[in-house]
Amino acid sequence: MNKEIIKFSILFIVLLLVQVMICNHIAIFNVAVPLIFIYFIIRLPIDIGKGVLFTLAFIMGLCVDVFSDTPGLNSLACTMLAAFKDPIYYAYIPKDDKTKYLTPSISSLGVAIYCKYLVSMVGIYCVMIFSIEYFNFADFKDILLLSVSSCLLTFLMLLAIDSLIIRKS
Amino acid sequence: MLENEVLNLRHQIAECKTKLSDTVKYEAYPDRFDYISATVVNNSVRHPRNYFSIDKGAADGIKRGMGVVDQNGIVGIVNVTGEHTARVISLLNETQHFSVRLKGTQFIGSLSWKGRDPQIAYVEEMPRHARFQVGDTIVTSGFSTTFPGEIPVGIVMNRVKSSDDNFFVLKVCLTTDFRALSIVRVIKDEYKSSLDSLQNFDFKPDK
Repeated sequence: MNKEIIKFSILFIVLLLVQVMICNHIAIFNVAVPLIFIYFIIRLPIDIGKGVLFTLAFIMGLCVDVFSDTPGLNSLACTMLAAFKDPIYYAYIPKDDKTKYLTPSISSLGVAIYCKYLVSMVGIYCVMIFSIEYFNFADFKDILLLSVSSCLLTFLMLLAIDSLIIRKS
Repeated sequence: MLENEVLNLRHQIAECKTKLSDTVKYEAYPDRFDYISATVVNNSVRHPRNYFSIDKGAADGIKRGMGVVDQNGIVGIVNVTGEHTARVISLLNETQHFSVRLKGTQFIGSLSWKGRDPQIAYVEEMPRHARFQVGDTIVTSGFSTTFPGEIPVGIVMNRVKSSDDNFFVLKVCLTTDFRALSIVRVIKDEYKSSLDSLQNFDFKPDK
């Protein structure tokens, strides 16, 4: 358990630094923004309890907000993403034995289920963050374009991070 | 011999004049506007409402509402000041409008940014009878105490469809590269307080 805590603390710090120092300044074709810090929320174990999950997600969002001059956008979206996490997770894993799969990862879920889970989480986060940021249905087309392109880019980057972590372990 | 010299000097004067007219003169009213140069310390271009921060503040004479330019054109308006820092509303902010003019004419419009591309903005409320060509320059109107007149803003790209038939909307390529802001100048208008108080003063003649 202690090992897990240390592992996730390192993941938290590394993702936060990479996000605020590099990814926040990237906007490919002015639309695709990599939002890699949500990988922390995606990878948190399912059995840590709702309270801990929500708190950690909120802290992650708050830290990103503090470093990127956004008043609470990421905190709100991260907390909402944490609320969506369990329902999405249970929607994809096989119904027979729920206790078998407790940490969302490629090795425990298999590539197909993991990718479905990942793309759903990233998609929901992108739609939420850009809807909150624009907060105007007149910009519906912009929100859609930004969400789809950012979702695609973030998804690819998270798969890349996954392959890095697997190679290391 | 003397005649040749006169011709030569005249030629030089003409050359200097054309050179001068090509460069942008910020000191249009040398007594009225003062400039405080500052460095951009934080910047963003990818949000619908962008802000940036500069390293000069109230202690250097910067106040809320002052205009900010860089060497290429206007970049924003000061929003909040700290002791040695200030936050500037970037031109790339959907809530911000700027009074602009088609250079060389009297046609006034309102410039605003519509999001996404940091190079593209739109000039609204251009009168229908305004004559323009692609490549014309858009400059500040000088009707406010924020910016002096004749500061470049952008280049006309084309006309886009407008919801109101009485007005044009022009698509403008901004002259400033907001992704690479570094040194900016904050404009201080010496006439600001007197102009503002005059404009608020409503003279009612006696009956």
